Amino acid sequence: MNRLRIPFVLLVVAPAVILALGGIYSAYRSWAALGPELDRHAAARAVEYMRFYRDDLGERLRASPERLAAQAAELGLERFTVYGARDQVVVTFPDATPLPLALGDEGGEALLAAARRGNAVVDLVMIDDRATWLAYLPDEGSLTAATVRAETGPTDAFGEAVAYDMALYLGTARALASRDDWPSELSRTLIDSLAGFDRALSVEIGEERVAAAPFKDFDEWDVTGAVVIRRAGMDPLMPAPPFVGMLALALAAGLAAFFVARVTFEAGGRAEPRRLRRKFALALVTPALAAAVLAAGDARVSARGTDSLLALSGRVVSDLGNLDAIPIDRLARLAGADAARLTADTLAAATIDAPAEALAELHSETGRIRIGGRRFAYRAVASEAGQQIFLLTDPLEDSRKTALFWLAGLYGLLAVGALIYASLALSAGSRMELRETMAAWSFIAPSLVLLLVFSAAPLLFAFYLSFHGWNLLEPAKPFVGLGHYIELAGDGLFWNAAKNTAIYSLYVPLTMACALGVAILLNRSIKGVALLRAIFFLPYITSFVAISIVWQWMYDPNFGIFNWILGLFGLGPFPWLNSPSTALLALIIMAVWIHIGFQMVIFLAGLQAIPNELYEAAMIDGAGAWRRFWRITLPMLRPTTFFVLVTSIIGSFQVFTFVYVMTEGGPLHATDVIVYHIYQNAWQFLRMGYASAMSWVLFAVIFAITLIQFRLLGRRMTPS
Amino acid sequence: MNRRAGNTLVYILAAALGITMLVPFVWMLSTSLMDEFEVFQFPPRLWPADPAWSNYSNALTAAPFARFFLNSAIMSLFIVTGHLFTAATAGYAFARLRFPGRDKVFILFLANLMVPVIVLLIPRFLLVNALGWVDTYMGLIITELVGVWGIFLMRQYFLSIPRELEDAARIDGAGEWQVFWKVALPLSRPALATVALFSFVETWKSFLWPLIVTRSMAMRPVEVGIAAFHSLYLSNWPYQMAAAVVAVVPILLLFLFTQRYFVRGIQLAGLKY
Amino acid sequence: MTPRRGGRSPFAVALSISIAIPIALVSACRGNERDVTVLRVMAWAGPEERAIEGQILNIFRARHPEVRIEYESISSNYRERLLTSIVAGSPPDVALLDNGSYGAAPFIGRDLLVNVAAYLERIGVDTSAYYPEVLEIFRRPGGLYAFPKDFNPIVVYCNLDLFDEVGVALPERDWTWSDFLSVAQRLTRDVNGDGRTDTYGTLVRRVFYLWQPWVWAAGGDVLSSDGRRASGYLDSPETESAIRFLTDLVTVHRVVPSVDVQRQPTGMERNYFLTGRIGMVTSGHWWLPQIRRYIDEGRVNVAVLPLPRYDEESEPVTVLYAAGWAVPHNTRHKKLAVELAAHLSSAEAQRMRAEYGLALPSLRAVHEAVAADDRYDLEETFLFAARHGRMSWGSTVEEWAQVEVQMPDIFDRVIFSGEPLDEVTADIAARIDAILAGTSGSGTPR
Repeated sequence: MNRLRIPFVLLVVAPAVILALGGIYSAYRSWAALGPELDRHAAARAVEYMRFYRDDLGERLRASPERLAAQAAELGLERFTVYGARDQVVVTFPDATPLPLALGDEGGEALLAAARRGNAVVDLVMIDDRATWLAYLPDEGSLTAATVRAETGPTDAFGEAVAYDMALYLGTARALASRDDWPSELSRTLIDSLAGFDRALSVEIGEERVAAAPFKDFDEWDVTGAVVIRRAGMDPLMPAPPFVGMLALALAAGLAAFFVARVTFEAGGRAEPRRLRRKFALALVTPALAAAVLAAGDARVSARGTDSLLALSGRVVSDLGNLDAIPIDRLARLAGADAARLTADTLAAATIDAPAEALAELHSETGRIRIGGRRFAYRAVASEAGQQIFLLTDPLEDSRKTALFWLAGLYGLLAVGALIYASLALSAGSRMELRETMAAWSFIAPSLVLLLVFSAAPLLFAFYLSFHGWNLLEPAKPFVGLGHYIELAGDGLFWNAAKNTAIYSLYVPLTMACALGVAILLNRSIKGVALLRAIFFLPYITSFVAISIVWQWMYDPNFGIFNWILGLFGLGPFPWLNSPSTALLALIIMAVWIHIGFQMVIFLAGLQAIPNELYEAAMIDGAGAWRRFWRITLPMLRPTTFFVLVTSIIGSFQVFTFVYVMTEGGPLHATDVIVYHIYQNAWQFLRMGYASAMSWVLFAVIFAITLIQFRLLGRRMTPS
Repeated sequence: MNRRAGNTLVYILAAALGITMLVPFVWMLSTSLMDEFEVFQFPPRLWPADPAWSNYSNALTAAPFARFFLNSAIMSLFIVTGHLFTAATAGYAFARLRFPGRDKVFILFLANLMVPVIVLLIPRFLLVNALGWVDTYMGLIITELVGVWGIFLMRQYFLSIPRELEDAARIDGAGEWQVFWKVALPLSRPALATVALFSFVETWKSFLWPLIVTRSMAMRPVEVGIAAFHSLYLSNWPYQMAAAVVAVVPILLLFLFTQRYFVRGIQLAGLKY
Repeated sequence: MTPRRGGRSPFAVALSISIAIPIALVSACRGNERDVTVLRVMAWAGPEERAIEGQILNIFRARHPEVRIEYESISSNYRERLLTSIVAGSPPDVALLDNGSYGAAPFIGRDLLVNVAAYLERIGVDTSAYYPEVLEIFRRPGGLYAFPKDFNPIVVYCNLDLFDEVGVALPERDWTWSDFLSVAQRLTRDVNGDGRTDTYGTLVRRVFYLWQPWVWAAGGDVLSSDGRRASGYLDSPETESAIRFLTDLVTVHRVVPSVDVQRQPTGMERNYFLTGRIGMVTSGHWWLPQIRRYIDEGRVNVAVLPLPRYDEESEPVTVLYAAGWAVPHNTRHKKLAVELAAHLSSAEAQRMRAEYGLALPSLRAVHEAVAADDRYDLEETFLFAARHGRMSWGSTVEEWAQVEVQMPDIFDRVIFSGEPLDEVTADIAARIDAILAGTSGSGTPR
């Protein structure tokens, strides 16, 4: 029992515990960070809305100051006054205490200066517990400011307040007021700490830690104010924290592993299959079900969060009047303020690129739609002017689903591990056998997992990629079917690279011949042989980049050592790397030099494994050196030769560094080998799908060649 | 008599070949000490008239080489540790323990040697990018922790050593981990040294993945750093050679002190199939 | 070899280290990045230039102690790195762009840069102080997208020592192509009679930026005037005559050493030139720092000429390459970034750069002051060339980087493969047309 435990612990319990601990830890972290996170979130969104109004109203004020004046008069505004100093910006939220702030005279002057340059500024201000809009209006050299205070006091729901158009807001307002008696100390600290930031932060003000988002002036230049939130409650728009699902799954997995462990141990060798099976099912399925329910709930809440975000944005948008006047990226920012992943670019692109048919399908008011291979949450909004606009954003639930997918995968792995373990435990003939099997699996588990995650999965993913147009710059990753494979069949540059690679790999037999010769030469115990072996081995272990640089210099047609030496024999000068006809040859020569030592060492090992008796017997038979080489050495070296051939060919197909450093594939694509070609397509042209297709072809070729080599040469090679 | 003549011939031939092999290194060293103009002479000078040691200090201050070396060292430390661990454990399991599916799994492992790195590159980058590890040590290290080659080597080695000691330990009641830990592992030190050296050399030389996963100068390992230096200093061969010497020397020193492990390691592993 | 080293097994230690350190690393990476404002500047620069930029940045650092500036010099794939970093949402705050291979045009076209026009007054930048042609590169209707850094006309450097040795007089400034050829032929000699040519007249490089002015000089061009078509222009008789003139230097007249293959400059030509093996080399102002040093050390005598005219009737022409500091639109620190970009282009900064002299200052006053101080009698030609300069196509054509890399193939195919020039140009022109039409199969990151 005791001995059974170690492998079991490694195979099942340890991963489960690690997973569970990780889940708990991250859940704890996210819970701990949640409050401030939400505050920052809310502050950022408030600023976003304020910016929107500021910009929109700024536009209008600038467009027609007379109209505003007339409107103000019509609405019975008490005063319309020239305003000389800048006040403060504070927005309050439910459950949050307003924190009055001022910029002082300096800030006021800066603002005045800004306004004089033609930038109207509108801000929402809290004065005497009342939300107040400040509008600064440049007017023929002097500065006009309309300060409007809401009658209704602090708005109960900020969403309500901002969802109103400014004109409506003016309608409910009565008084004009200005203030210059805010304490400026706190605001200084705040503004200073926000200078240079564009996002919401947690900042220390006085004794307190608050969330604050900088509010900048019309052209996003100076920080002129801030939205501050002190410990607010939960944001109604914020979906359930993303880690709930994860925590649940982690716990479920841990529980499952625990139950399976219990069951197996209890069963020992003498199991009652049916009861056991039921227990297994219970142990594995129950937590999985629980997790699934939780996850579904999580996704549901996220989906509703997305919808309500869109709904709020939609109200703002629909109040705006002429939608044509609003830059699309501004709308995007507004809609996407909640979704960190959604940038103005992606949304604008999606909105503009969406085909008419796709949009025609948007029957309902809200929903999900797939455009260009990407899922969006949308909301159709009709403006006052009768235009229709579609707000698109990333569905929040999708990100949850991705996370869940990975977690489910992990859980699956764990469950499979537990099942395998259990079935082994039940079917094992003897305890010894079981013990050994368990130990073996635990020994290879770390390697296996790493290989699965970083080799097997990427290999398959590359296959998937090869059927998609995958460009880092484009959000859409359309399915192209066999398109890439068809394209590369007709891509002359690809075939040229394939040809160059094949020619380059000729260095392998060349090197093998040399290496074998040197190995035979050095396969004797004479003085200094170790040093000589080391010298031959040297190139292989040194830096390939440094070597490439050195050889590039040696190949210099005018001052390089090669042409000098050849010149001594009356040959040359050769252009080496400078001509398409010799560049690849130059690389091959270098490759021989580099690899000869490595292959020699392997051949030496092979040679020394040949029993001396064979040679002695042959000598007695009167066989000459040449004959001995052909009849004994070569056949006996067959496995070694085979090994060297296979590994070197695989290596030669993957040559990259030399080409990258020395020729960049030139001249005239004469040294453009396949890996360099793939690299260029992936990282310079950013065509990752196409590059994946090419790399899969390379993989297939290497695979085929290796198999053929095994068939032809390697019957004795199967591992015993 | 005949034998001695043969040996002399071998000496001469081998020495000639050996010297040929060394030419690039000598050429590198001599160029690195030349004046910027001195290299542009024909016939070339084999040794500088007045060695310009300042090339080294100038080249070394032109790029953060210390940082490059630190990065390479950190990267190598972790990857070699990972390789040792995985090679020893998995190699042991494949060589010594019987379990269903062993040969199939082993062939799967070996098949990994056939997968060209370039196929894995894009998905690995996307994965590492998604994890936020681009341009970090984590990104440099995490994908490289298993070396199939090392596993193969260790398996071969374990196959070549007698298992009596292990069986004796089992009879004494030691568990599999204890057997591995206390009996097999101490016996396999020479093979472990070989694996460590080979994986160190491979890691130190690795280029493609570090090239892609690092962005800033401060994260580049030596190889990538030298390549960047190369494209910055294209016109100045002595500087470049100085940088090349600097890149080569540490690994050369290591090799000088450990070269018998390289050779003997391969022989020890036997490559008997 | 006995199994008795219990307790501290090396693997346990190794394992715990290998687990603990990545975790430590990760948590260290996630540390407090929040409280410092970091501005990242991305550029391509050699080490000497980096040192100067460092000094220029130090001035800004002194004025803004709260800001940390990271200067990053990217030597390869600059354009791709910049594009992906902007799109991925981690842009540098200030980036250097030019009108050649690292053209600002695609960035402006994709609306990836901040329009700094609105802030000029606020940060006290007077655009009239710049050379208008240079400013024009980064200007679009209603916007300015970078602060010009400096610019470079292409000229001809002559090694006077070699001229004296051979007994060739330095040509006049109004020389023509045939003068160029005859001088090149006379400079090409086998000095020691070993059958190898020892000195060459000139050098031909396959990079396109050096042949653009020759094409213009012959009255041709590579693209239509709206920059959307190559066929009919790249394969026009005028353009072909220019290309033929250059390739003939290699294949017919043999007045050049081997053609170099690198897309990046190898600097080989500079060393050949300085060691007196090549008489005339076309290049930009970036040669001057080194050449001045060698003149001071008495190792070489150099004169600079404008590029030759096509014939007696035609006007001199050269190409101008300029660079400027731009701010990606999604920088987190717009104000600081714009201020920094302006600082990098300020008279103060330009003076510091001009002292070293890799390029001509884009501020006219600074340039004139530098030219007046010239002890080497070289700047005069650059002023002349600047007056006859035209901006590279990279100023306006968004796909220029992709178009430009097609050009060296013309050279390779004519020189190495011996294909007929008109077939090659027609083929390349078709390929470029496909790129400009956005239908090219390979090579466009679009």
